[in-house]
Amino acid sequence: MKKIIYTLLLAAGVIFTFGACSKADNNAPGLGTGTGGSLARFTIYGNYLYVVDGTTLKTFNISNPKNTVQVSSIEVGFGIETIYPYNGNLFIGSAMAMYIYSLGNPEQPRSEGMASHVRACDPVVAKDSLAYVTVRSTNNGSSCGGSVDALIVYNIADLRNPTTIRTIPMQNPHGLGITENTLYVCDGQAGLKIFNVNSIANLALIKTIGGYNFYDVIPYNDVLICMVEGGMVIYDIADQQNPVFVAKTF
Amino acid sequence: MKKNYFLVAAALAMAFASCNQANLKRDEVWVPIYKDKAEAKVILNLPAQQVRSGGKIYAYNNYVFQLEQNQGIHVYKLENKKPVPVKFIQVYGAQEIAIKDNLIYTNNFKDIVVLNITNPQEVAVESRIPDAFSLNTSELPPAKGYFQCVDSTKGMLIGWEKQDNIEATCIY
Repeated sequence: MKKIIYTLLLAAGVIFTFGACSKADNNAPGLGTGTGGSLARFTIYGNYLYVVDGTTLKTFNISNPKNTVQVSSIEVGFGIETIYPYNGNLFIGSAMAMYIYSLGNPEQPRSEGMASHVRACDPVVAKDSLAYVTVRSTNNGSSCGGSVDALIVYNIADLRNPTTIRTIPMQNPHGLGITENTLYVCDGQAGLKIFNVNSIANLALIKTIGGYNFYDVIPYNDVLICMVEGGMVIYDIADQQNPVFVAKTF
Repeated sequence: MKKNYFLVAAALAMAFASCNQANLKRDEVWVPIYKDKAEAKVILNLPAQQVRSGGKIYAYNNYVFQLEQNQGIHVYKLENKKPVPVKFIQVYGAQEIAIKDNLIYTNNFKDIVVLNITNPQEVAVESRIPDAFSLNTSELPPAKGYFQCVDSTKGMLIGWEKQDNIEATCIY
């Protein structure tokens, strides 16, 4: 009899334990790779972490999280600030240029092409055969030098020869983000600028959202996560070109 | 006698020099905040905090993260698209974040640290890669003006605060 009770107690304990585990699992964030903003210096692509510091691109194999191993270090150029992965390539923004590296061999990113531009700070995002870069001048307190504030659109159909398609003046541009048909540009105090990018010929500013000093943005499913002065602001972008304020963290 | 005059002159010069030194005391001087080197490497789970100097942002499943520059990582859970504060992970020197399979890759000054967030309430250090992120961190305050130069013998620089009536040794 005692044995049966013990068995029952044990079984109950086991069920309880598993119950607790599955509850914890429900709260666990889950698997996969996350999404960063355009100002990031760390990015993950496949089983690799890519890191840019002042002048170099470092590659780490993260297959074994207990033993992350640096597998390469490549000199890219002066004043590197940002890294953005897209479609098997890395787009690296520096104070002088946008660099493109391909990841055919993920352990040894290969230099494909670059586009020099005016001296400025310059995060990059890309979609299909276009790359979008903002350049911000020293006039706006950047330490990158330069005197131009603009959004520059490059044709990257030929990675080895990016060509400028459009230059759109901005006031104080920082980070940017892109979805299927919408580009979000953080123009500092001048607001969040929303462009229709369905057709590059008709690249058009649809609207500007003010009220905050916008620094960076992540379009993430149906929310737009904005880094602003003071913290974070979230918009609903179920309608991508018409963000609706949801909440802020400050 | 002449010698004495010279001494007086020297003393006066000294006095004026120190007067000038005293004049260097200014208001609104940026002063570095230091953390002891051993303490600066401690990763801690803390309750959620207000954002003071918000940094980079990151999205991972239904969680969003914002760096607190040089202090750590704010963790929020998205509920009905609203960010609900979950906790704050103390990581001094942190500027960067990327996440894969419940592992946060961030920087603790020049070290890259890997943090396990399988249980977001109890973030654990998975591994550390020393000196993997050799960013030449700025030793300048967040805004132009008078400041006290960074003295690395005093510890790791984790931030700046403005103080009044204090000597400024540098300006930019």
